[in-house]
Amino acid sequence: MYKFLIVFISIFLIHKSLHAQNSNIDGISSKSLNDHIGVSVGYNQGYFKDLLFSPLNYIQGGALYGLRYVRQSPNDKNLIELNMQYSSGELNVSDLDNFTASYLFGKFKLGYLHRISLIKRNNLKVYLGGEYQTQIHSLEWLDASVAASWFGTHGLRVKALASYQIQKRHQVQTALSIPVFQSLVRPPFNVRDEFVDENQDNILAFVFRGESASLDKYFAIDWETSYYFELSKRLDMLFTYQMIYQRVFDVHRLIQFQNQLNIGVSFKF
Amino acid sequence: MRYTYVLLLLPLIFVSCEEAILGDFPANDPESVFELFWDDFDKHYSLFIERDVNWDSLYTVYRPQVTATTTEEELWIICTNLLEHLDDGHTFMRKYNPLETFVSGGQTLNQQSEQEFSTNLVRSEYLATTTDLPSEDIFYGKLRDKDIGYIYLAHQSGSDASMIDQVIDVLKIHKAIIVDIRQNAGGSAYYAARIAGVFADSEQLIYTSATRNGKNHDDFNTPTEFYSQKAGDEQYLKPVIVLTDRGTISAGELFLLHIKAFAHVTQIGTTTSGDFGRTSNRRFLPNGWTYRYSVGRVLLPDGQNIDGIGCIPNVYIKNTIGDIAANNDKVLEKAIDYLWTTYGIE
Repeated sequence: MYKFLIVFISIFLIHKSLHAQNSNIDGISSKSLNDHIGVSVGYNQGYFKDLLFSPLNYIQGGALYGLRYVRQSPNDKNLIELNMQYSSGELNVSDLDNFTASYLFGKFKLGYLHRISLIKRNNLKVYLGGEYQTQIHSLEWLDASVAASWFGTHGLRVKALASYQIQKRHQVQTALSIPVFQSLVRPPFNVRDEFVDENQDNILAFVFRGESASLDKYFAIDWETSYYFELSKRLDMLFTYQMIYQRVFDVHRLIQFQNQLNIGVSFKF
Repeated sequence: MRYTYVLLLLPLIFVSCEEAILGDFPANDPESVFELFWDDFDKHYSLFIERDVNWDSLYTVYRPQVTATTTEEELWIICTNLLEHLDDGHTFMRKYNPLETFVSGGQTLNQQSEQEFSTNLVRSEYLATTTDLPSEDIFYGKLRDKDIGYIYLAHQSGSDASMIDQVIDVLKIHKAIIVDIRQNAGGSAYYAARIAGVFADSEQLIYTSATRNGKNHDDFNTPTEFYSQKAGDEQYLKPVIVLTDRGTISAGELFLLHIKAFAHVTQIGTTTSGDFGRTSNRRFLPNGWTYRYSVGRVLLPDGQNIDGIGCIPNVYIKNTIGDIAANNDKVLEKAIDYLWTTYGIE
């Protein structure tokens, strides 16, 4: 899985490097604005239950920060997306204030999408492709030595994306991704064991202690829709809603549903 | 265009549908709370076999006592009576408003043992010099008019176990050291092993540890072996007395397993708590209570289980509350006497 990621990044960087060299040879810089880099802030609201942590239902809420880079090929045939997210906040139980726990999560996504030529409408573009995604969530009550849990996934997803130009400066985009092969990271049966105790200061040991999970063990759906408003030729403002549903089918069931709303700007170059 | 509006408004559907997504919130009625509590122990607790507890038969005793009209106070008594059968100092239950904690395994005797030892008494009546290491909750010094060092370890969970090296560097000039782990509250097995390493005369298997990993009471992962290891620049190999009491628990007892394996170490005091294994996360109930239980199992190299038994001292002696009130720590006095009669050290 990680070899795939390294190869993917390497190909991208080599491609980028060759492109830059060609531009220099020609003595002209590219006029097309195919690269987008953006930042966003928002709010993550959701529902959470992890039987390894607690039998109770939790309501999740916290700040959300994002960083995104998108590169389009000059003819819009291909898209490469790199996306990072971080959120931290609280998990609350209705009517039980002293059970409030804290959470944080980080997510990294790297995707490649190819435009489907079958759909030919001037203002609609549809892409299909794949995405590598790593996400890690951790939660604790009081502090990690009292009650803690974590979960994460590393793996490939199929992704579809549609982009629709409403008017000259207005665009909406929606994307859906579903996991196909995942390495699922969760604590052991009783959350703590000899491995956990021995490696409690080594986060990486936990993050990559996963086991492969097919769809009957882990299911997720990630739907994102964004509205873009072109502020200027080089700057877009965007509003994004993202819905993430994840479920682990296990003795210790895990369900997470997140609604993420954020606002951001995207710089084109 | 109308599809665009649908797309932008669709998210509103997904907000405020908690129970549809997560399932029902666990019911907060006495019967449901008891069922959840009993079932969680049944699925995760690790010492039913070692402590010879038939959890199913206890269900038939206590479940009928809980009805829809059981009050919170009555439920608390039923649940704590159930837990007392485990006789496990690692297992406790807590309620809030007002705060109350029940610890399984002789809570009254545990509270009494706290009063049968006083660090203030040791400092004021027995030590000529005292140095504190606040980050480790350690204090150490020299006994009055004796060529004997003294170290008190309050728990096994400081920020840097290697701080013990500088303590040994100061005390190594003395002919013997008394290591006091009475009321040692435990902590990390790794911290305990590091502290014990400065007294190590050999590297040997001390114990194995396994954690329950399945729904059956005898489902455990592959045991991990824990060995003693020499630590620090040099080890202290002159006579060492380790003082224990009923309040010596958990990683405090693991420290004791390590140090007692060395030929120059003698245990004086009373039998320790007998709670060696790993503990669970804090668990939550829908009525606002929390609890914790044992999830691990520790065995000696010969396979013997001493959970529920504890470490039996080489020399048994016990303080009373009256001894402490009279400024007399009989356990410490016995250690001093033992060093004189056995080694001629004073």
